[in-house]
Order: sequence, then structure tokens, then C-alpha cells
Amino acid sequence: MNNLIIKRSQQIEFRLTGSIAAGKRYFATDIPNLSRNNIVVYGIEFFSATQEATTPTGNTVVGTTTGITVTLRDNKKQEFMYQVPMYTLIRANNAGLIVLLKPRIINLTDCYVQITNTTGLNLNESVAANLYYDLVD
Amino acid sequence: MRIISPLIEYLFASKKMKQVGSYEGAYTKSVYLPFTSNATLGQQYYLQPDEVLDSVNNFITGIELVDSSTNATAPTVPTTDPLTPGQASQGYLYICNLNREILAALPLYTLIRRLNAGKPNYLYFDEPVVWQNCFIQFESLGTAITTAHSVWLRVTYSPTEK
Repeated sequence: MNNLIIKRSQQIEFRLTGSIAAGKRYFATDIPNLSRNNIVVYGIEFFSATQEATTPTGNTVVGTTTGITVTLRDNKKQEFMYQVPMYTLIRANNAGLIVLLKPRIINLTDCYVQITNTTGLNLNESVAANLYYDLVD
Repeated sequence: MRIISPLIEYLFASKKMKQVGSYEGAYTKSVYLPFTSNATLGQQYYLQPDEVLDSVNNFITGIELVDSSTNATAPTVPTTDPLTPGQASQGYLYICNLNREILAALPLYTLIRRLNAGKPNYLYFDEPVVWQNCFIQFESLGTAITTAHSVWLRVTYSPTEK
């Protein structure tokens, strides 16, 4: 059994803005230093409100983890991780193992979460995650 | 014969992945961050300078946050209470290099080893970490952190080859 080694990490978030509706996509907030196609992502971890009450940008983390799916897109627009339950990507739900990805350059602002159940979700809360990455050589 | 896929081999070789239950590091030590007044929102609490933990001498291979259930009392002078998981969920540990660039932002709660089913947090930074540039910051303080508390970090490290 193997686990991820953290080399560099960056907090990202998907803010629930506009309205809360099942099926609606909420895209990742832009982070300039991750938007230059200069990083290779090799792992991702999502957080529950128990683990992280507030994001570093001051937004409240969503109180439920069971009605949200995650989709990641690479720089070729391919949805290489499509509608994975957020619950599955929380380390504490996986015996402490962090989800490893085949390393690839992602397009952060093309990545999104989708709501499948609006119960317990409130406007302007954030879905919080950590990207584990390395710089492009 | 053991067959390893090129992807697995790459993840091992580039230090992105390591076996669970394997060698964590040559040495380990505890460091403490007591509070001289109540913790405040957005304040950067820098860690005390530590020659041992600077990357010039050693490289950090793992960090555990010791919480109040792991050990009830921190051996600071005077003694303090380690953070509870609820208090830890309010803050982050930022690992920084010489230029104070943030290499990693780690939620304190996820550094509590017992809550990760005993799995360690493996770290490996290509750039030198300067321990005194690393800091802790709280983004919410619904549960107050007072002078009776301290952040207890157990750091695992190995000597840098010279």
C-alpha cells in the first residue's frame, strides 16, 4: 500500500455562488500561479467542514460531503476525472490514504463540482481541496 | 519476478509516493508553539528558529500534529493543552522557503495522525525549507485558542547528504 508524498500543495476552492441547484456546475476559483500550465498535479484531497472550518480566503466550508461530485479537466480539455463523489476524495474516508492521480497538467478553472443533492448546502459556502503538484521541468 | 508499471516506478523515483508503513525518517523531534495571548484571526504565528529543521542540515520527511487526545498535556513551561481537533480545524500550517514562498498549505486537522487511520503525512520538498519562515494561521476562531493552549508538532527528518 502506497501513500502520497507532499512536495508542493495549494488550497483550491469551488465557491457555491449564484444559486444552489442540483446539476449546476461550480468552477474552481482562479489562482494565478496555478493558471500558467506550469504545474503537474499528482494528487488531490478534499476536506469536510470538520477538517477545515474556513478556507484561507475566509469562506465557510460546505457542511455536507455526500451530495457533491468532482470533475477535473486537463489542459487538453479532457475530463480525466469525471463526476467522482467528493466523499471518496476525503482522506479520512480512505483509511488515511490520499488519492493519487496520473501526473498531468490541469486547467484549474475548467475543473468543477456538481451538486447532486442540495440538502445542507448554503450559498457562498466553498468546497475546499488541496492540490498536490510538482513544477514542470 | 516483480512487475512494476512505469507509472508506479515514476511516482516512486520522483518522490511523489512512498509505501505506507515504510521508513519515515532518521530522526524525530517535537516543537511547540505556545500563545502569549489569545490567538487572533489572520495573524501569522511563526515557528521558532530551528537549525536542525532547516533544510541546509536536514530535510523534513513528515509532520504530525499532536492533539489533545493523542497527548493530554504539552511539556511546555508552563504546561499547556495541545489543540483539540475542533481547534485544529480552524488553522493551517504553511511551509515556506528562504524567499518566504509558500511551498505547502496544510490544514492542521489533517496532520493529526490518529484521524488518518494512523497513516503518516509524508513530505519531501525539493527546495530548502527555512523553519523560522514557516507559520501557522487561523482563519476562524469559533472555538477560542488561549494562552492555555499550544500547537504541538512532531517533525520527522533525515540528514541532508553533504
